[in-house]
Amino acid sequence: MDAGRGASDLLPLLAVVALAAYATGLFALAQWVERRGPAARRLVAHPATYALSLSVYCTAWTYYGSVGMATTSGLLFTALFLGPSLGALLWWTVLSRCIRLKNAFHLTSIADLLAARFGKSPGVAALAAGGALVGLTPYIALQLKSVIGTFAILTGVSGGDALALGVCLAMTILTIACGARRLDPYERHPGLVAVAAADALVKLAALTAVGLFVVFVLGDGPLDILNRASAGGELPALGREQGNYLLWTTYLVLAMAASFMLPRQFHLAVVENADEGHVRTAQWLFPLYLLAINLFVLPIALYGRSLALPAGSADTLVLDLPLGAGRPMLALFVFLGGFSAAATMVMVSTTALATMATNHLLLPLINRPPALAFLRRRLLMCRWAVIAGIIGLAFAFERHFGHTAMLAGLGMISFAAALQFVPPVLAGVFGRGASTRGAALGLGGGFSVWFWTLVVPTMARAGWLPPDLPARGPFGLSFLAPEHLLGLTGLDPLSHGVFWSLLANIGLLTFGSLLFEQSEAERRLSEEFVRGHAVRPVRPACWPETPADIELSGKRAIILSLIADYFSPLAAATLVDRCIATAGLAGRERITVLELAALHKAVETVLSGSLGAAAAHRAMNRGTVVSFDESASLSEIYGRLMAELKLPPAELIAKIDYHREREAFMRRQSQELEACVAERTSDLKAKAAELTRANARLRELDRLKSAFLSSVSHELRTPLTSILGFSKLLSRDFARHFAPLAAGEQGLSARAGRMAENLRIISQEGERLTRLINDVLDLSRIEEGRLVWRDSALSLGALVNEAVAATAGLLSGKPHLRLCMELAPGLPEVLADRDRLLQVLLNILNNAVKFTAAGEIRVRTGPADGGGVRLSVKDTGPGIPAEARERVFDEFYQVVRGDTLLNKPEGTGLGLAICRQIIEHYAGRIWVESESGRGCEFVIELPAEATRPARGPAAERCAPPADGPRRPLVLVVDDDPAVRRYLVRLLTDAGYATAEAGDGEEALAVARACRPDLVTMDLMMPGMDGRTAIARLRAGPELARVPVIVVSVLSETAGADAALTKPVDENLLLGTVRRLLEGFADLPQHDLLAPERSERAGAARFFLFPEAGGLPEPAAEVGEDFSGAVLVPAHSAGSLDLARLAARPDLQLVIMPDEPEQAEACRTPGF
Amino acid sequence: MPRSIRRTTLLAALFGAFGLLLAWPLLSLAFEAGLGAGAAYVLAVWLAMIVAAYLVSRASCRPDGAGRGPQEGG
Repeated sequence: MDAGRGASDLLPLLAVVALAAYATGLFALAQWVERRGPAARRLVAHPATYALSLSVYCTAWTYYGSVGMATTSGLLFTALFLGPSLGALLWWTVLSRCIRLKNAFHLTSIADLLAARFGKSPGVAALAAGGALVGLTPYIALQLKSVIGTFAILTGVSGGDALALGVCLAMTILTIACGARRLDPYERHPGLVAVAAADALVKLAALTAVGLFVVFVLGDGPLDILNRASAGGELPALGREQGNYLLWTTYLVLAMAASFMLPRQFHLAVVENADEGHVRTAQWLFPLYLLAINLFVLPIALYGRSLALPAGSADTLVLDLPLGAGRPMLALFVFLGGFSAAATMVMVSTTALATMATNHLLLPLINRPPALAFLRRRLLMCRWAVIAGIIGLAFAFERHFGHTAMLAGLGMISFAAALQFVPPVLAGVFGRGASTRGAALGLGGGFSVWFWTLVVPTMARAGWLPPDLPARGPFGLSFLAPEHLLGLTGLDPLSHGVFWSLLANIGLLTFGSLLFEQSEAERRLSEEFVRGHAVRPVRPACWPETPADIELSGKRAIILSLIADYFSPLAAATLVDRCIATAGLAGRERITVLELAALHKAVETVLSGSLGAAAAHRAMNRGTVVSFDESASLSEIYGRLMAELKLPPAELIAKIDYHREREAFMRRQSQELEACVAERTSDLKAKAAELTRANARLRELDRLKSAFLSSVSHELRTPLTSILGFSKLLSRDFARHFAPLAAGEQGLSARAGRMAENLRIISQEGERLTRLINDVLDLSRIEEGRLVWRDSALSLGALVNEAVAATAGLLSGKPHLRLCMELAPGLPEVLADRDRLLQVLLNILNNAVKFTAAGEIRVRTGPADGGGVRLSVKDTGPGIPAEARERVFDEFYQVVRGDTLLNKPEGTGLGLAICRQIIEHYAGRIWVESESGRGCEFVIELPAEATRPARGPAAERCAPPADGPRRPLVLVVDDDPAVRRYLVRLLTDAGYATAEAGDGEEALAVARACRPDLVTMDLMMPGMDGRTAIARLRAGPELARVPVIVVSVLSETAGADAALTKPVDENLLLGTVRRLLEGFADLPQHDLLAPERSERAGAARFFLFPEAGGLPEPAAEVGEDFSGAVLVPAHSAGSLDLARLAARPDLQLVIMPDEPEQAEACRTPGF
Repeated sequence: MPRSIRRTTLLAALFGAFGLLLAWPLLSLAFEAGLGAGAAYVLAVWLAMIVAAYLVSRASCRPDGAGRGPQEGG
């Protein structure tokens, strides 16, 4: 309590500081929004902001008065909020139509709407503006009274005139800052809307806070409140007095009308509306807000009732309760909520009233006497002065009449004033028949009767008029008694006033419209209003051609002179140029009369956004924008058009209307579609985010799986190594020691065989398991990034050769399968880990061999698109089904054909997964192309980043070993990599340096680069064959003397120095090589190579015999048509019958001496 | 029937229905029963109005555009 008292002592100061801070905050918010940053634009463009801003309906009167009314009149207060909720159901029709009209006619107020509809009549506008001013100023006074009164209650200090003046000043500044900063017709006031929306939240929060405090702190929950109410006397129920039903209905109707027709409501709902679609949200959010803000009104009233407080304090119960409970801070918050309600209402109402008063009351006045003409150029300042004047008037009203009226009473009188706008607005917007005079009569009559029946009695009660006037009438004329007009009794004063004013309004409107016919201009305007849009000057296809003979600059000058009265020269020029651009006339020098009419209308419409429809119309008609001749020409054109169209005007308008409706429909559909797309995009984004999260979870699980596999694999490898080792030892020992023992007995022998087989299976399966574990380890290492990559520059060709050579063994069991290579020369080197890349190639080649029974496996290398290198392995196997082409790179996936168990291929299913990981490590790609049943092609592409220019393929192939003396270099040329590898290994083992080539062209390139000492040449090769290659070698001076040995299945030399048939004998080959390099090196070529005597083209000039025993009949092998030298190894000579060969004169038989080891081998028995 | 007319008819029907619910003959029955019954009645009608307004506004932005449109014909 001490703290509360301490705070109470500081309350006056706190309240002033809080008020100042809050007002500053509102000002800052308005400034921020007016600067139109992206966040501010989003805020103002949000439909919720629009809907919340409409809560300006809940003024300080609602804020404080609802609880007061609930205390004194029970549920009657709910009618004030049920009415707007009911009316909101019709907003889609009424409000949307008004918004469309506002956009079409640049309407600035409800008076402007009426003026624009009723023949741009300044009289109707002035009547509406005057009525609003008179009806609403007391309402503004009510807000000031609430702020001043509640300040006194909060602080216990009467603020007096100083506080009242301060509040008025602050509100004047805020109103000008938020609602009257500029006179730009295109300008709305987003700052004002934002402030209204923010205030809505503050009001709601404050009332909810005090409601919760009362129900759960002061009371003990809702039931306790109800019990207290029962004990202290319930609130009055409506049903106990019959008259309350009528009052209920009156409240309902008044509130329904006020929620839309009050100038401040119209201003925010229509004038400040940024998007017609926002109405959809406001239609349900506004009633929901009203429900929320009233949720605690009844509990607070019930609690207050249980305290038996005096009736006069009911209006300030929300403030009294926290103060009485020693919660000054809560009370301060409630006070700020009340201030926000009052401030918003004052700002918006004053802005709306000032606009109306300036445009429709002040402008007509200053337009007449020339002495006041200067004010036209200071219209903005005039509006500021009007704002200050309205707030000052309200202040004066509050000072003089504030103490005499109950809060609720003044509010309902203002509502009744707003009700007078309903008949002309509805008749004007939805009906064609209402005329200007009818509207003027209706408005005049309605406001007059309203004043007489509702305002006069209030003034009488305030003591300004005789107190018996309301009941007895003036001068004793009882039929004129304000509260019993024409002797009508039995109605409460409010219902009485509403009944008579509405009757007068509707009656006179109907009477006047029937009595006075509409002018042509009125009829046109009524059509436009009923359709909900202005007729825009468009040029239809059948529009008559008119000459462009009017100077635009001249007309621009006239228009400028007309509007220069109201705007600065710069602003006027900007405005006119904008209208010219809007009419599509920018850059033109001359225009047609139709375009002039369009420009005239555009300027007037825009001008009405600043001056109001009536003033703008008058201003434009003061000059001669459209001359008499031009006007006549225009009439003639319209007449001709009607005649050509052969349509009555009404039908033409109907058609135009139809097309406009269609256009509007399409536009709305487009907007809805955009909204739906945005909504779905938002959904997709949410789903994408969800997928990202799920993906992250999956990655984490995958990482854990890899770690688990890695760990388990490590643990498995140790015992597996022992198992494998010991099983091999066991096999060996069994084979050495036990199998021979069992060899003698048939039963034991068979058993030993089974045991040996079992041991073999153990080893085999152990090895398979080891491979699997190694694969798993490789994969997990790669995935976890633990694998050490030893990158170096590699020749892709060499790597392919190595892989092909390693695979050659697998081909031995598949005689009908051929392995070919097409290696592109000049490829860049690959920067990669040799072992890993080789692993990839081996895997793919092994798969190709495994799944291809017959046909061909072709390995190609070449450049990739966009740089880099490309490698492909194509086979003629069964292919891969389309659905499995991507999945083959998944872990443990294997393509299974037919029954799963029977057809499951060998392997772990990890090979290709590892391949992909390796290739992707180098930012490369691996994929498979396949046609089911026609083989498949695995393609690898490595990007340019993973390569570097080669040192030269040929030079690389013949690079000498780093150490040791120079050895003779033999170039092995064969398209079959297996044969090539075999020959290379053979020659390397024999101490020769080797180089390789896959076809004739490559052979020439390598030979030129390496200058080999000898060449072995296959004849049948793709591309350039061996014969051509030999001819080319012989043709050049540099390589002509290099010895060439043909190693081919064909028995021909093709210009070579020797020919060996495949399958080649190792000794013969090595012997021939050696002799060509050494033994015959000194002999003249012609001694060895006898001239051709055979008719067979390309016949060999000498023949080398293979190993002894290989050819039992040498004469038959050499053939009768062969002529030349026959070379026979010495160790074979003894086993061959050479007599017939020696006898032939066309043959030269040469016995070649053996190598020492060969000679030894010949002597070995059994060799 | 044009969709805008269907919409107007729907809104008018809703307006009429809720107007009737808030008019004195029905309201009196609830209010005569006491404050609690009257408050519950008002609250129920209020909520029903909000829900109806919400459903009408949602129906107008359905992707197929059903529930709104211009006057067809002319």
